[in-house]
Amino acid sequence: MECCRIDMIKHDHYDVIIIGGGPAGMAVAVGASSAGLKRILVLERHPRLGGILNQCIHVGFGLRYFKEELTGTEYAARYKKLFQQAGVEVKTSSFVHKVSDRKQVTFVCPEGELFVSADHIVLATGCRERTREMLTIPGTRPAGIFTAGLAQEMVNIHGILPGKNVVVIGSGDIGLIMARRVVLEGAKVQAVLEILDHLSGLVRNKIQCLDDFGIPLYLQHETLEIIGKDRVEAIRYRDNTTGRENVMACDTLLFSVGLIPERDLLIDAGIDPGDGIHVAGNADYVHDLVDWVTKDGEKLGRSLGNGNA
Amino acid sequence: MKTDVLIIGGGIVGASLAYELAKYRVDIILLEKEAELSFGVSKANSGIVHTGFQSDPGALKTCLAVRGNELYKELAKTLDFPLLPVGELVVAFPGELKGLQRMKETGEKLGIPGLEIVNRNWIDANEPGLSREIQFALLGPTAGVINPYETVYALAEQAAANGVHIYCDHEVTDIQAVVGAWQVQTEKGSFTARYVVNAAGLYADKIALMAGTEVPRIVPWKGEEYLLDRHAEWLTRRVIFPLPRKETKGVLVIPTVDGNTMIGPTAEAVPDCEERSTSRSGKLAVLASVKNLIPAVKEDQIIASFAGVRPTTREGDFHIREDREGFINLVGIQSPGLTAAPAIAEQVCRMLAQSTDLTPKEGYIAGRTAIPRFRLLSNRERNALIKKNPEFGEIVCRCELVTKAEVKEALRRGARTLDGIKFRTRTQMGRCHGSFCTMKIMSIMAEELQRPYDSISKRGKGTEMIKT
Repeated sequence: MECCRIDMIKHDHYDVIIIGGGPAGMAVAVGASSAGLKRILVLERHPRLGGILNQCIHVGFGLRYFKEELTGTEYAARYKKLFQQAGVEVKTSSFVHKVSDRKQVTFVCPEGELFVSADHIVLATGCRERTREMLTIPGTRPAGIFTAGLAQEMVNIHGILPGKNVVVIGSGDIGLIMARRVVLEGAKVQAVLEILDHLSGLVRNKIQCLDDFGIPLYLQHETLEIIGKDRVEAIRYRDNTTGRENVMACDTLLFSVGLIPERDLLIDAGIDPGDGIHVAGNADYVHDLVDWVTKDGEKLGRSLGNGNA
Repeated sequence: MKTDVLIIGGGIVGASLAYELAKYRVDIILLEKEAELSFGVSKANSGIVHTGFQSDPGALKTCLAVRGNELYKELAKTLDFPLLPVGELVVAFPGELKGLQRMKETGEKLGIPGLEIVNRNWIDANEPGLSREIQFALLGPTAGVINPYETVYALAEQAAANGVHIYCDHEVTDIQAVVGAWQVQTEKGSFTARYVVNAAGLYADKIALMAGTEVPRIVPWKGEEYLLDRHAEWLTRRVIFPLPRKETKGVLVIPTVDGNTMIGPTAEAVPDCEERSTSRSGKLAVLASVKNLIPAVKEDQIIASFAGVRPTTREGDFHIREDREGFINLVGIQSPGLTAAPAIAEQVCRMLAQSTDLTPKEGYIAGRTAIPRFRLLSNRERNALIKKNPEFGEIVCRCELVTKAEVKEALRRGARTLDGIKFRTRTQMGRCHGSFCTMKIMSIMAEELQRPYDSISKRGKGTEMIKT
C-alpha cells in the first residue's frame, strides 16, 4: 500500500512537520488536520508509511482503537486509510538528520539534501533497541547476535531465519514475540533469560508466546559471557537466586533488553521539547500498545491546531 | 602462478610493502588468509602514529618508527586517508618527572622534533580533563592517529591499481624451496616466487618454519579496547600515555579519527592467537587506569568493546632478515609496528635491491581518492553527489549517516563481508550497533554480489549471518 509519493515538497514553510510516518506520526497528522491545520508534512525515512508496524505480523493490535483484534500490518493499513482521508502531504525515503532550534529540519532524499521549516516540529521517531554492546556483556564477537527487532525484520520482511538454536536474552515484548515466531519457522528456543525478578513484557505475550509453546522463562538469570569464535556456540549464565553458573549451547542470541526513545535529533542539537518542538509516541515514552500511541498522537495533533500546544 | 615477489599477509606491514614495491617493475602477489585485508592483527590496532620516543633507543623498531612517522604525513596526502596530527602527551605523577626528562633526552637523540616538557598551567589551558595529580607532561607534537584498517585498504587499493594481485581467503599451507625460487601452497592453488616476504603477523613464526627458517617465537598478547560514545567526544585532544612500563605502553586515552574516544588496551599473554574475547575484569582494569588519568570518564559512556592480539616476541625487537636466500622474515612486528610499517617497507625494498633490479615502473599511477564520506560533506557537496548519483540520497546507516552509494562503492573496492563494509564506511559502528542497517546492507550485498543471503558473512567463512 504505497502512499502519495511525490518528487519534491510543496512548501518551504509548514504549519507542522512530522518526523516519522509510523503510527505516531500518522496520528499526529490526522489530529492536526482535523483541527484545521492545512500545511502538514510527514517525512518518512522508509519508502512506505507504517513504521515498525510493517514487520509486526502478529495479532494484538487495535482492540482499543478499532475495537477489533488486528495484526500490526492490518492496523497500519486501516490507519493509513484514515490518514489518506486527512489529505496530508507525505515525503517518503526522506531521512531527517538535523533539527535546529529555529525549527528547521534538514533531510536527505534521492532528490537532494533539503531544508524546510515549520511552526511546529513533531518528533515521531519511535524507539530503538538496546544492544549487547550497551550491556557490555563480555566474551567474543561471533556472528549470530541480533536484536529481537532486527530478527523480526529478517524473518517477517525478508523471509530468512537467522538461526536454528536460539536463546532470547531479556523478556521484552519483541523478544517474547520473536521466540514464538522463530519456533513457528522451525527453530528451537532454549529459553528466555531475564536478569530481573519479573517479566519485562506483557503477561499475555508470556502466555501466548512462551507458555503455549513450551518455552521456559528463567527470571533472575544473568548472562555472563558469550562463547564462540566464528558463530555463537553458547552462553555462560548465572542463576542469581542460587549463585550457580551454567552454560547453555545455542547458535543464535536474540536480545530484547529494553527500548530507548529515539530523540538523538534533539540531543544532538541541544534542544528540549517546548516552544514548537514536540515529541509523540514511543519517542516520548515507550507505550505498551500501539492504540495508545495513536490516541496520544491524535490528541497532540489536535492541540497543535487548537493552539494549545 | 608465477611472480617475482610474493607477500604473505595483508595487514599493515604486507599492504605497506605491496604499495612501496608496486612503484617498481616487479610482479607482486599478496596472499591473505582471512576474508579481507587487515582482519588479522591490524584491524584491532589502536591507530596511533607514534613519535617513536617511547621505545628502546637502541632498537631497530625505534629507528623504523621514527622514520615511519615522517613517512605517514606524505602517505596520508597521497592516498587520501585521514591522519589527525593530534600529538601525544606522556603524563607524570609526583616523583616521575625524572623519567619524563630521560624520555625527552632519548627522543631528542633520535631526532624527534618539538619535544617539550609542559607544566600544570599548560595542562590547565590545553587538557583540562587530566587529573589534578598530574603536574608535568612530555608533549610530542608529531604523533597522530589513523584508522588502521582504512589505511590498509588505501595502501592495498593503490597497490592493486598498480598491478599487485591480491588474493584473500588464501591461507598458506606449505612452502618449498625449488631451484632459484620458492613454491608456496594454498588450498586454492600454488604460487612460485623468486622472493617471499613473510608478513604473517601472529603466524609469522609458523610461516618461517615452513620455509625452514628459524625466527623468534610469537607470543600472542591480547589487548582489550573500549570505545566511548561521541557524546563524550574527545575527552582529551591528544593521545594520553602514562609513563610506559617495560612490557607495554600502559592504558591510553586515544582520540580516534572518527571523533570517539578510545580507552585501552589491556595487556595479557594468551595461549591462542585467535583469543579475542573481552572480559569484565579487563573493562574494570581499563576504567580504573583511565580514571587515574581522567577522573571524569564513566562506564556508561562505553558503546563498544573489542580485543586484538599483538604478535609479540620475547626478544622484543622486530626481526627483519633474509633468513634464507630469497626468503625475508618480518617477525615480531608489535608496537610500534603500525607506525614503522612504511619504513619496514622501505627497508625490505632496500634488501631486495641488493639482489634484484628495482627500476621505477613506467606509467605508475600515483594518488588515490577515498570513498566519499557523506557525513563529513557540506550541503553543496552532498547535493552535487546526489545529483550525480541519487543513491547518495539513500541513507543506509542512521547513526553515521552512510549512504547506499558509499556501501556500493565499498563493495566495488573489494569489501566482501559486513565487517569489511563497516571498516570502509562506518556503517554498524554507531549507537544502534547495526540494528537499523544490517539487513539493508545484507540486501545490497546480495544484490550487488549476486549471492544468496546465507553466504553473506560477518567476517568470512564460518561467520555467516544465517545459520543453515
